[in-house]
Amino acid sequence: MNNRTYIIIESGYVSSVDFSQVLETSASTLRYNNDETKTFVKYEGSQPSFLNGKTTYNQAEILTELAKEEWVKELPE
Amino acid sequence: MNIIQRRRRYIGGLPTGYSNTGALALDGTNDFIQLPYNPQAAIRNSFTVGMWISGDSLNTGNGLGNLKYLFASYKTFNVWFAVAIDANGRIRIFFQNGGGAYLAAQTDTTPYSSGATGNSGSDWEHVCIVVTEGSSGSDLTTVKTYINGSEVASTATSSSLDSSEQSSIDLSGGFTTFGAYQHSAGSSNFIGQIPVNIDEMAMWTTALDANSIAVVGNQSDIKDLTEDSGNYDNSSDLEFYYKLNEGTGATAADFSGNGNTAALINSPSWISGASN
Repeated sequence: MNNRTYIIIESGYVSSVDFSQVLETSASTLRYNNDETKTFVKYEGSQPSFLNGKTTYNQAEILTELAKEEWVKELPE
Repeated sequence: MNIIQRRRRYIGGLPTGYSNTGALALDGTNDFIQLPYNPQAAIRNSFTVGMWISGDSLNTGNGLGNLKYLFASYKTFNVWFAVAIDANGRIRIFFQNGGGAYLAAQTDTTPYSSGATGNSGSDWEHVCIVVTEGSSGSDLTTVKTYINGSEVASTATSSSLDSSEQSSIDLSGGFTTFGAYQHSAGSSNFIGQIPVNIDEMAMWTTALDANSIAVVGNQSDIKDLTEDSGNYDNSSDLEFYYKLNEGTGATAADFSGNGNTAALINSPSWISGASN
């Protein structure tokens, strides 16, 4: 497991994300849940201030979350 | 070789072994490696895809049907070539041309099941998929899977893809990735992420023979694939080759000479290179 921290956010919060402080490439590379109401970001080291107060996950914990039905996408046709 | 030739050959110092300094760790959540093009020309003929991998949960996590994708060249749901690991720890191969022709294969064994050597986290293993086009129009395409240079039994669960169908597959406008597959335009449109350490990703425009793969997949002597060595004589057949020794940055250089620099989406971690 890595030493990164993951935080699930509401989709409406994406506009508040400073992508210079997280490890996602840009807003266009975020992964959303199936109804696109949630996404997540990850960072190393100190928590960016705009993420203060939100629930954090380690890699194993976020993988468990992402294995839930709401995150597993169906094959596009 | 006479003495003068030998001196000329070694001018600048005796040859040394390959220093494989770097690799990438994908976390299985949202990171993957995106090639800048689709190797359609290679996939229309016999070809080989190889890479070193390690991990401790290769058969778990998320992904459609619990499939995690090591490599995919994808256009639509029925036009693609992909290599995946399933929940049982099998390697699965999918190859479909959109016209109903389909090749699906899986290993009989489960090398990446929970507790298996290949799923122990520390061991690097070489996975190599060899696709051989049929020799004429109606001859079927075949596929073989190798781990660490040795062929592992593959079962074709379905096979109707013939030479004429493979040679006309249309992947134009599609996407080619390691660590997930991208199903439509826009980098967020990806699924099947796998938590895996990956290194020395290569495609050759030919079906490597068993002797060559024994060199490429030798765990005790990881090779620089741009140099022929022993029974490996396919350095000139590289379609792309990512050594992943950069150690920093958001791109990976292509050492095939074809200049297909790959993009590292959502920050895979740079780690030490494959070694055993």
